[in-house]
Amino acid sequence: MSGTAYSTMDDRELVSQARSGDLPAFEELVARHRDKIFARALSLTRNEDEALELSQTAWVKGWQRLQQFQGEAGFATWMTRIVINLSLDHLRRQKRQRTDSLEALAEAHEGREPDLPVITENPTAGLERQELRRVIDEALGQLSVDHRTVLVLHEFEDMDYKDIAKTMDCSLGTVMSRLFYARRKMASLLAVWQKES
Amino acid sequence: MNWEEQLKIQAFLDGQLPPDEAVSIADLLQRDSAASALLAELRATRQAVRSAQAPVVLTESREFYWSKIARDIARSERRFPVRPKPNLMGRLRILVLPIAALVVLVIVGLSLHFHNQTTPKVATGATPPAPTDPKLAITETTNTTLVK
Repeated sequence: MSGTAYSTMDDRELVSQARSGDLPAFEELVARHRDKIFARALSLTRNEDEALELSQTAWVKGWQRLQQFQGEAGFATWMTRIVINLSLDHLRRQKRQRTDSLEALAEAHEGREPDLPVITENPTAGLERQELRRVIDEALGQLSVDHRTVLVLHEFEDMDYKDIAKTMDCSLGTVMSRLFYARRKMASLLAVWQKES
Repeated sequence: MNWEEQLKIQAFLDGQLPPDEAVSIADLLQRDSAASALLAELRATRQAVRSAQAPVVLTESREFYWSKIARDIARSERRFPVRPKPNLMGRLRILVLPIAALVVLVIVGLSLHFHNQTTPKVATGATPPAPTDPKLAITETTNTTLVK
């Protein structure tokens, strides 16, 4: 089958072809969704090289587990779950290696900071989209891995608390607490940024 | 506002509270300005983060990106061959062999059964084959003579 024929197929048809061993059909799926898969790995790891490698590993796993794809969710959503799990495993391994760092210490306390003052003005008001993206990205980079992960899964992947708890292998209360802290920290970082600028 | 109420305000914002609790948090938000200020802050942050998700585009070419994936797939299949799920014809082909074997067995069984029914049985009292032992042969001959 020619490349043009693959490009006219929808994801479901390509998955069906790939399941019967058609590697070029799978290549077309990779080409279609590689940016999204890479983006998710990048938002979790914040390291381009690691994200690139994790995204490629996710595709290999996707090929190997293609028979398990039931098609309840879309193919891209299914692949996103694979790359999220791989990224979280990768981050857990890294975390074990830096047990005595300050960040790990903060995470051990779940980063509860109830004394943060409530920001009454919208800290992102008046920002251009491009600028807003840069500022949010920088603020995300200042969060701990666990807090950033919860925020990314909830805001970017639209996962509910229960799904996040399952994915991160923690309790519902921990998810709520991490998300709350992450949002409050983001708000205060954005407020500081606005004052400085 | 205690810690639990703060978390519930957030869950209220995310639509993750059961209806009865949502009513009580809505009530709290009406009468407590600190609670409503917190809700406003959480809402603004949520909106900012959601709208700031930048589209990421990989700089690697399609061929370069795919080449590593293809290499790793080939390597993994050499170690753990992945059998593609057979299509309908393939599945039928898998069934044909055992079914054919069963049919052959049934035919052989039936033909043996009918063969036994149609073959005439050996009549009772038929002369047994002559013994090979010469001594026995003599005895039998002698007996025959005596009867006569």
